[in-house]
Amino acid sequence: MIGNDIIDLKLALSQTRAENLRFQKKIFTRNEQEFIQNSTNPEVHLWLLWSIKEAVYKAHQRIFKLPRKLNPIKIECTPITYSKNIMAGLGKVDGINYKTSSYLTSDYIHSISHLETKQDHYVKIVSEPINLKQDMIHEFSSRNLVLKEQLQIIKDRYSIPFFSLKNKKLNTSFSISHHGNFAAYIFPLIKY
Amino acid sequence: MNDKNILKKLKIIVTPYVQNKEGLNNFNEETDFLNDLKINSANLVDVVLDVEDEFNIEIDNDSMEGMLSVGDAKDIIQQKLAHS
Repeated sequence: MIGNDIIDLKLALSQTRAENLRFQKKIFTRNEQEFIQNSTNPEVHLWLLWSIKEAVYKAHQRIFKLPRKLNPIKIECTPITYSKNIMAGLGKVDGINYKTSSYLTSDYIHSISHLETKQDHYVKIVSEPINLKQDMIHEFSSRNLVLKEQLQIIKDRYSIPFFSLKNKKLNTSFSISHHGNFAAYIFPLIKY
Repeated sequence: MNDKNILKKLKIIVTPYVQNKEGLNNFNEETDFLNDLKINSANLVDVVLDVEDEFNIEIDNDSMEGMLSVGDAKDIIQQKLAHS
C-alpha cells in the first residue's frame, strides 16, 4: 500500500510558517518541531515533514479504509538517513511504521510512504497541467502490460479510488497528489 | 451566538483559503472544506487557528480531528463557546 505527497515549494514558501509556533503545535510533535528548528532551513524542513505526514496519512487511510480526519500530530515522523536531497525514515501512526522516502529539489518536495520493502514503484512528477488520471492509466497499462482500454479508475464505497481491469477491482494501490503547479502519482510495478 | 452568525463568520474566515470559489456560492452546513471548497489540508490548520482567534476559543487536537465541514466547525465552535 502506498501514499505520496507533492509540495510546490514556490507556493508553500510564499507564506512563512517556521516562526508560527501555534501552527506547528497543531501539526508537529515535539521531536519534529526540534528537527525543524535545528535544520539549516526550517521553512523547507517544515514542509518536508508535512509532506511525509500526508503521504503516510494517505497510505494509512487506504489500508484501513478510515474516514478522513484532520489530526496530523498523530503521525510521528522520524528521519533516519538524510543525504544528497534524499531523506529516508519512518512514519508511525496507530502503532504501524510506514517506511518513508522524500526527495527535495529547489522547486518541490516529494514524499512517498509504503509498507512493502520489496516492491518496485513507478513515480511521475509533472509541473504542467495534464490529465493526470489518463496519464497514469497510460503508464500503468504500458508498464504493467495490461490493455489501456480495459483499465479504469473507480471509487469504492469509501470513496477511495482503485484501478479496475476488465471491470474487476485490482488490489494494487496508487496515490495521487496535487499542489500548486505540481502533481505526482505513484503505483507499484507488477512483477511477472 | 446563533448558528447563522457563526456561519457568516466562518465564511469570511475560510474564503482566503478556498481554491474552488464556486463552492462558496452554496455555503451551508453540508459544505465540505476539502471536497467542496478544495481547501488544502495545511490551510485547514490555518482555518482552525483563525477560528480560535475569531471566537476566542481553544480547539484541541481531538476536536480538530473531526472539523471537516462547515457543520462540524459550527458544532465545535458552539461547544467551545458553551464551555468558555
